[in-house]
Amino acid sequence: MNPWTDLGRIDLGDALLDRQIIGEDGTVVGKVDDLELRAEGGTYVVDALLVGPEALADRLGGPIGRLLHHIGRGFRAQAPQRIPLNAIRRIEPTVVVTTAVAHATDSPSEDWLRRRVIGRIPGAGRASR
Amino acid sequence: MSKKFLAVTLGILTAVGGFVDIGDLVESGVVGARYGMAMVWVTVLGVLGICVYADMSGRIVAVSGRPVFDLIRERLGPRMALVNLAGSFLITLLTVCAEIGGVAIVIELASGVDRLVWVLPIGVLIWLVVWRVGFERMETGFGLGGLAIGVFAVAVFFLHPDWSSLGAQVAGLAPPPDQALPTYAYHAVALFASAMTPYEVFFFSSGGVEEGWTVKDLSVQRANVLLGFPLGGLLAIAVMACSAIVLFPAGVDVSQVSQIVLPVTLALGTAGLVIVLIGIFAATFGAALETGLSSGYMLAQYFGWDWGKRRAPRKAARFHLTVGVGLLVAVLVVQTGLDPVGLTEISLIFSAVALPLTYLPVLIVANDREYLGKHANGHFSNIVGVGMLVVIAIAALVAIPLMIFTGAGQ
Repeated sequence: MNPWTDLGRIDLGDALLDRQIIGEDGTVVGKVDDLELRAEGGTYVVDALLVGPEALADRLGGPIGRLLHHIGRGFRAQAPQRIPLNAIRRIEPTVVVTTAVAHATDSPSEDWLRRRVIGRIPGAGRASR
Repeated sequence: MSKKFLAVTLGILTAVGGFVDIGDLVESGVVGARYGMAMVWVTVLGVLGICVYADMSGRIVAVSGRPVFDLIRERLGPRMALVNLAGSFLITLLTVCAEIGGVAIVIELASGVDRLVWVLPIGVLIWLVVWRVGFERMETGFGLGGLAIGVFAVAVFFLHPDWSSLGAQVAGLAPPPDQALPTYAYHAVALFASAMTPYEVFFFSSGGVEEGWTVKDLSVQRANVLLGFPLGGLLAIAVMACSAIVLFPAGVDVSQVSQIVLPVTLALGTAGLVIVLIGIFAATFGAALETGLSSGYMLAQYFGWDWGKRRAPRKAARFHLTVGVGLLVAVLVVQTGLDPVGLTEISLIFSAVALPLTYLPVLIVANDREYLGKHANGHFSNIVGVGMLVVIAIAALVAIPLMIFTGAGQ
């Protein structure tokens, strides 16, 4: 499903980059850190949203970008997480993706911290009231 | 009714715990002892500024459901927003240090045991509240506790001041003839920064998300700002007045928190001292919580992590790690034994430098019709907002040169 089918020209930097991504059930996924483009017949087609520190690092560049890249690497060796464009349900202006995709795009660093550090402290499972 | 009442306490908390925190307390006390009431206009200007900008960030949250910092990266791009994040984050950590130093000195004044003994237990206690206590309970508790600072206002009357002389000082606006202008300007910048401390906006708008504000809450939110912040400003002026009545004529230069509290003891005896210490404890402890949480809010909102006290900590692991590490760093800094008053002044001057980083993006987002629709800034908000931004820019530019030139206001 492409939410922009009915629209004319849009500015990807304004309409998509750096937006918050959430699942339909409210799961917080992350930001649109970069876009994956594919060359097709002389133009480019947006294939996927990229999420993760490596994707952001490449856009930032410089020493900060390199630092962020290393941090990302510390938790995972592969490329940033991809969210295919057809997983997008709507833009409101938060990017809402399907629940299944939102759950599959779990951050490795969040996951590691949850299992190894924060989750081990008593009371971590209860929201404060 | 009770829900409305609770919502208004958020305003009062941010007013008392945020407006009167260690920064306002120390700087109002210092300025009152040095210049009498001549700097009331700076506090009034600061209150006007924080009212206008808090109203904007409240509207942004209520309409878009997203806090201010969340939108900064979208609007300014990742690089500019990162510079902003780095600046605001460091200033906020510095403010956490100043608040923890304030809590420690209050406990020292109450117990007679050296403040450095209390730093680590205070850090642990703050973390426990962050970990366990719900947002609304936290803000109500410390908000109401902080109201005890109102005893400064009571003390003003019991000190039987010469009202016409105080009034003349307020209307004087300029420094007393024997005081140098650069030092006066230095303290004016610090006092202005104490009213507009950057974390207030982050905390206020993130707090709105924690409480789930919607457009329906807009009127309550307005009431919070327009009642809460001026009330906080009045308390800061009461602190200044106490100093102006007792310390200014005696020519005392404030270098310790105990001196700021002295007028209350003179006016109301031990009972007054007990109440004022409770008030300062609640206000600085509340502000330490707010600044500690704010450091986590900023980082989480830039990177798009899940965050907040409304989530179980294991669902917001990176957020809780940030807050925890931030508190640890602050505890270590305060444990080195830095002087709390000096630490507070430094945090205020660097806050002044960082003010445009916080307030310019708020003004930009508040004008964004994609997010705010018909609730975007009107002419009035924009005129006052831009006017305040000019003042903010001047304060930011002159802060460091004045600090160097005057030897930090000596």
